[in-house]
Amino acid sequence: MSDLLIYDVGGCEGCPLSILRVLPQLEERVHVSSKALGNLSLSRDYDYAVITGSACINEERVTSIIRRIREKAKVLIAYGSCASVGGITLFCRGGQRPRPEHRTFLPISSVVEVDYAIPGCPPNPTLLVNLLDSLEGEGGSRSKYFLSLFSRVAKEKKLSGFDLMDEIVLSGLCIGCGACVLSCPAHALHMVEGKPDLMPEKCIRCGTCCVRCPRFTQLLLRRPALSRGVV
Amino acid sequence: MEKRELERIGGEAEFLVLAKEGIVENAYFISTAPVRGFERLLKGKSPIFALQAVMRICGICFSAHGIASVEAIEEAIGILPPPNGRNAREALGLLNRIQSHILHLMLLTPDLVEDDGRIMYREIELLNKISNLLQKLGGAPTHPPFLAIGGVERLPEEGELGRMVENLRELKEEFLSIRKDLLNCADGSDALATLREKEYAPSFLATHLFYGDRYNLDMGVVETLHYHEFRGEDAPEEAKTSTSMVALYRGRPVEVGPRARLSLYRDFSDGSLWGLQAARMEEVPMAVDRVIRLIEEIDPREPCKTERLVFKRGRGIGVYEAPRGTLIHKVALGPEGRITDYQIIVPTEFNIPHMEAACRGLPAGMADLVPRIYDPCIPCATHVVEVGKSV
Repeated sequence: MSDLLIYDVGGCEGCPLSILRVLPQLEERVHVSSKALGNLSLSRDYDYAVITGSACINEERVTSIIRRIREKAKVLIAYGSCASVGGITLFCRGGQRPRPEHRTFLPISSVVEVDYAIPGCPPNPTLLVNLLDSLEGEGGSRSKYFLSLFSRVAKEKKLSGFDLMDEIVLSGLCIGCGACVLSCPAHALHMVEGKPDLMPEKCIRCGTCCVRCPRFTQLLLRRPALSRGVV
Repeated sequence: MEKRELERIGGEAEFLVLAKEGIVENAYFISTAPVRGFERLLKGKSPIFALQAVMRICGICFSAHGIASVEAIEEAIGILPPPNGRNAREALGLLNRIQSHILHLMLLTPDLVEDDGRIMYREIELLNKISNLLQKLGGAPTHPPFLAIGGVERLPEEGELGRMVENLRELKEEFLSIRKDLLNCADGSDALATLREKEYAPSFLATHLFYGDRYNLDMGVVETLHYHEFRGEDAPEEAKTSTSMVALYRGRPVEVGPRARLSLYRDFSDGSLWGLQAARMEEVPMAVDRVIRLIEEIDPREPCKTERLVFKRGRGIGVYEAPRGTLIHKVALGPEGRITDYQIIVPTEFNIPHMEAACRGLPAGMADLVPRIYDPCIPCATHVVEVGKSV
């Protein structure tokens, strides 16, 4: 049985705790190590490691733990918006006691190479079960799409409602399906005249809308080819 | 001295334990999670953003932060939600309290029983049930988006509310059955015996049994200080790196949380460390009954949110009884209603001194139990600024 590590590097803990809700399904597939289960160890190897929370790049302790997990894990998954695209922590600006130097929080991919990134605040935990199935070759026909999308997201440094507006809605690619509106965990999107509109003061930069949008996902998947001039 | 990375608590912290001949003489609770600095992050932002942001301080007690925040903002702009909004909001907070207590029970279970997963899987089932209820009333199992300034965004339909009441009744029965089985299995365990024998009952602070009441608290005597200032000169070097602060009331440590609430507002009395968990497990069925009453009082034909939101200059305080105790949000809004100052004081800050003091005299091998029975929340605890400056 494969080994799975779950580690939070200073997020709100909402992601690791929501993963507990699917622990029985996970334990049918992998052996789980986490702080919540009391069996955490960073001195052994893992097949899969899930990191939640973003990287405070001003705290050596955090960046060294992330590097260590990368060394120990064959496959590294950034789980949740903070870990995958920065999320709410992109707004952090430091200056707060007792550690005012904790200023900049970035996605895990800013520190190490990440294999798959799943945005969501928090993501529906069954996504993790599905991703593991896909990685183990048991995810069915959607596996390839699933894996290629989330590995592409791992290359993005930010995804948010602002990007959805810029890249899809305002550039005329939007088909008005409303998937983004339904997916937004902050209810920051609503339909106006058949197209989504962003209420900017509600957007927490979680990126959920972008990975739910049928057009944005295609854009993400094709961007490497597009940037090489191949269409 | 022994340094332990604490497991099975909410967040990242180390516990330094000084023991002599196997007995704890002193302990230091040092949180290591980075400071995301939500108070600073909120400066210049709209109160609508503040609500979305503060719920993400914590993935365990999100509704508590949301409610304390909207209470403070509503006071600052001088509005009150309609009865439906108030009832739904209180119910949302209590569902979060139940969820948090069940989660904590899962983290504590391995201390009490040699578990083959049997009890834990039943607890997970319960966690999923309560999370579904939060989804229905709050719009999500974590960080509920229906919570709003002026009330709640929307209410479930009448039939849905009826089904929620049925689910809550089942949930209560299942919780009581798990509690009974857990205590039967735990009988005779070292951990339970240690917790029951150790007497520790400090002064209590709580503002309300179910919600929160800022008039049951004197803000003028709440004080926060750096962890290393609190522990003094002889503390080890690590104390300076702690990312949390300590809160005092009238210059003294007070205990906040389930035991404080039940001791002050109910005839609960248990001076042992186990009293903390006994109170927590007592709060679950009480909260279920209260939520049922609140849901029954909701009238889906009436409004659930006030329509008149005018953001303007003002100051407000929101006090709420979070799962772990008294939570305080203070806000100051500028001329366009943007945030000029924001302060948060969280329950774990009040409880840190007790986690350390209650350890003294225990066998060193049992020291980890004490923070766990106090149920600290580190994501919250790293979000406190010094109080005493202007808001």
